Amino acid sequence: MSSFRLWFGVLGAPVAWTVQHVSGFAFTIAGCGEVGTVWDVPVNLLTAIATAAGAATAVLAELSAIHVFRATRGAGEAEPPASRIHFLSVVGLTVGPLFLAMILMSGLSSIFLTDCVQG
Amino acid sequence: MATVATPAAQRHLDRLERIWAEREGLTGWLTTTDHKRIGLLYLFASLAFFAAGGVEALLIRTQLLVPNAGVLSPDAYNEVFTMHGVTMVFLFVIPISIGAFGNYLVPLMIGARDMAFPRMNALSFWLFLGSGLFMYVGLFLGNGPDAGWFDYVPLASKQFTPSSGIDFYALGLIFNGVSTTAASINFIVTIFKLRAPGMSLNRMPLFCYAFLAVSFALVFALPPLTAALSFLELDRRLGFHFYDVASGGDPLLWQHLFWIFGHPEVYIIILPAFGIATSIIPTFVRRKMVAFPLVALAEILVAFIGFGVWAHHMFAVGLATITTIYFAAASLIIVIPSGIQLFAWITTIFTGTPRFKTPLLFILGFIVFFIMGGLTGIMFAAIPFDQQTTDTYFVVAHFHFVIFGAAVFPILGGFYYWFPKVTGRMYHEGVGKLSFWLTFAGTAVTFFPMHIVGLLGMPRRQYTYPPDLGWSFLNFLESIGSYVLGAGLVLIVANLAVSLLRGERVGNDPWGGDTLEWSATSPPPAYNYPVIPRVTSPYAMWDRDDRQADARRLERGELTLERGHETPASTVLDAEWDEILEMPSHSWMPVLLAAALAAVFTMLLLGHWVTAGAFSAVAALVLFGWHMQEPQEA
Amino acid sequence: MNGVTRSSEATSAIAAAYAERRRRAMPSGVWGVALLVATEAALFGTVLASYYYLRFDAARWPPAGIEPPDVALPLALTGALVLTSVPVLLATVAARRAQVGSARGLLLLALLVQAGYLAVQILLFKRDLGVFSPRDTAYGSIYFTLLGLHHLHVVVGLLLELGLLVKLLGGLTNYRVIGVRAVAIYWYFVNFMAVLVVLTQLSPSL
Repeated sequence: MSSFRLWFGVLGAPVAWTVQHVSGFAFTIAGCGEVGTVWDVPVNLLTAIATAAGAATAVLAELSAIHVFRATRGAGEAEPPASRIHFLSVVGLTVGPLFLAMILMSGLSSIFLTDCVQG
Repeated sequence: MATVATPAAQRHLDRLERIWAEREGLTGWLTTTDHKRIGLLYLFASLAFFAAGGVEALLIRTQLLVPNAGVLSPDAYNEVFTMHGVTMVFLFVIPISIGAFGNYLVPLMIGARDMAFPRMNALSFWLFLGSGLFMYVGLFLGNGPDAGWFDYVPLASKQFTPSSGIDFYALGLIFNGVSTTAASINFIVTIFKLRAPGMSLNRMPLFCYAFLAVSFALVFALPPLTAALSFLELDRRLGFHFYDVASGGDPLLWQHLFWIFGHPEVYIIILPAFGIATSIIPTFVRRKMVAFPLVALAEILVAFIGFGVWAHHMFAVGLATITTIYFAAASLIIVIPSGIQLFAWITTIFTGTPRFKTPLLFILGFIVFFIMGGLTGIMFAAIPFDQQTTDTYFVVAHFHFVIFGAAVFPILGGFYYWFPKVTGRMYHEGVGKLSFWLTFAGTAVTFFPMHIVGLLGMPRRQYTYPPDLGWSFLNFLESIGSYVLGAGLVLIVANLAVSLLRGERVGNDPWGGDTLEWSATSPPPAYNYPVIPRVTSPYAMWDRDDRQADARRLERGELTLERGHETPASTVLDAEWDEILEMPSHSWMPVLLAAALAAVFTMLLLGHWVTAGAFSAVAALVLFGWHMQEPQEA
Repeated sequence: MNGVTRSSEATSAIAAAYAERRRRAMPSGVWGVALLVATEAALFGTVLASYYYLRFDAARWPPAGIEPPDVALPLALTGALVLTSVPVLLATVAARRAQVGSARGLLLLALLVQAGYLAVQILLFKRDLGVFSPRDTAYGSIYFTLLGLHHLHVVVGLLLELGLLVKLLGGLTNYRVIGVRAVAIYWYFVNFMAVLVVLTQLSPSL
């Protein structure tokens, strides 16, 4: 059982969301601060890139988790490491959609809203 | 498990007793590194602070009993509500959850004999006590912090609050943060390394998942607070300009930094309660937890996603919507892990055979209040709604439902649940049930009307209100509720205090509990387990075969680890046995180091920078002395 | 008992090396310092983020009247500091192989270079204070706080190495081998942070 597949399946989506969330937020702060007028930060373009990359990573992580889940089917009550791997794959498969939802919700909304005004 | 030991078993028990004997008297308590004793020290200290915070709450409610009351002046009121918040969050709920419940129970639940770093555990307690006394000295000198528990600038800046109350707050919380960081590191390493052989991640009790999540959250959440407080002190004491606009600073920097800490903090407050609930429910409904992997995951997810929602406390400060939308998205999704847990708990209760004893009643109360507080929480994720209700009593209602109703109720239930284990006696069940109903009713009557009065426009942190706005009856009701709540809490303490002296004696496992601590005696011996348990599921006590195998090993002297202060260390993921560790025992270093650090913070408060530096050097020397004695030399 | 070591009983260099080899998982002490590093990294991350946050707020950075920082000397110093990770790493290898003398020598070498780094950095810090003040602008406040925080971590690292060297005068034990590994991890972290700090410090000039 590939350890990389398992850990990517568990951690890939959370890491993708963290990066997209922090960078997305930072782009808006930069774009709407003084520096935004000085440097002309392309907030929407950067947000789109971060959101697309994040979403793609989250989807791949979900697929990875599903693969490990299927491969360890029935190992729920077995001795570790098989049962522990199966347990972690359930974790991975559950987090994927949640983080994907957050990535899409925040990224798409940020792009479609008017810049730099409080709504 | 046999309650009378055979001669062979008794020899092993005697040897372990001798090796692990705790010193008597005051010296024993000052130098203890035993996690159970430290847990009790935390318990009593936090309860004392709970009483202080409770008095502060009753003062607030009495001042608001009627319009234009003269119980507290505006300045005194500001100090009282600030100290109420600071005390309840930093000096009561976190220390009692992590320091008392966590310290006492985590090693027992994982089948270990102590925490990974016993001396650092003691240090955490003494630092906590020091930080609490430090902040209260300020209050007693008439210089309590008075800018609210989140202490916004510019109000908290030197220009607008020149008195030293804010410095007591800032330095006191940094001091407190050192304690909590040390404790968190200790919990993570303990849970990672000291689990009984066989307790792989999928066999670890849910209580431990909650504590793992809490500890990781604290490790990452406390530094932003430390930074925020340090910047504040640098601005106030040395004239720096982090937060003032005229010189290029930004007051919103404080808000961001505080809430990057503050939001995870509130999940940190509630996670131990989730852990306690997931321990009590299976025992009292005699059924394993539904969807175990999802509940374990949900506990970690709440902590993790909680780092991404902080600006929902800032929806009304003027941030662009393209910024705040990130936080609205995360604040909506974070409901899902909480929802998973609620559905799991409720399904487990409905499909089990409940025994409605006092601990379970408190958990049912917790579920009711958590649903209410959670629902109002989701409402805040909608930015327009939040902008209308921010800084009104609607917020006060929400957070008291989740902090008091949802975080404290399991603590109260936990007192009742583990009281027999810690004391060897049973509390009075009838009085227990009465104390639950009083507390439940008091909580509902105190905090529910706050939703209404908040929607009617009453702002928070107001020392009084005029009689013609329609808020009077609701405030009166809330204050009466708070007295009922106070009575309920007093009844709990009285029940436990009297039962401590006169309660019926019980054996190891009066409840039919599911986790390992119920296999130890009540109270457990200093060494916790004579035989290191072998574990094959998260419900170790319900695996009768495994526990009988432990008893047979005691006869044979197998896995008794009695050559010294020994406990096993395992691999992180699958708990394969890796080595045997020798643990330190009694030491003066923790209390000495805490005293040195208290001196450092006091000198910083007084502005004696060089003396503070000198005491830092003393602290460094104590730390060196600490490491002079290696565990095997003890 | 099925081949599990009582590692605390390893009070000689050879025994300690043996215990190290038998161990399959990172010992508690190493986990402890790794978590300390995590929390300190979060602290640095916060201060670095604050630097950029204040910068995004400013039309001119540094503000008018303050020159952007010189690049050459800080970068060279940081390079020297980062290179000390090599003797530190080699010291852990030596300790795990029971080579006490080499461990001591390598740690001492690292300590001397790091102390030299700190001395020059303190001189530069004082020189900067003579030119612009943290009490005048947010730029000054965050600049000196960021650097000060880093230097404080270097001081702590030097004290840790000193303490370790004193303990190593008495030879190696299991406890001290873990100590060497722990101090090494702390230093890798300080050196990594030094790069981020200097790049941020010099960012207006880069």
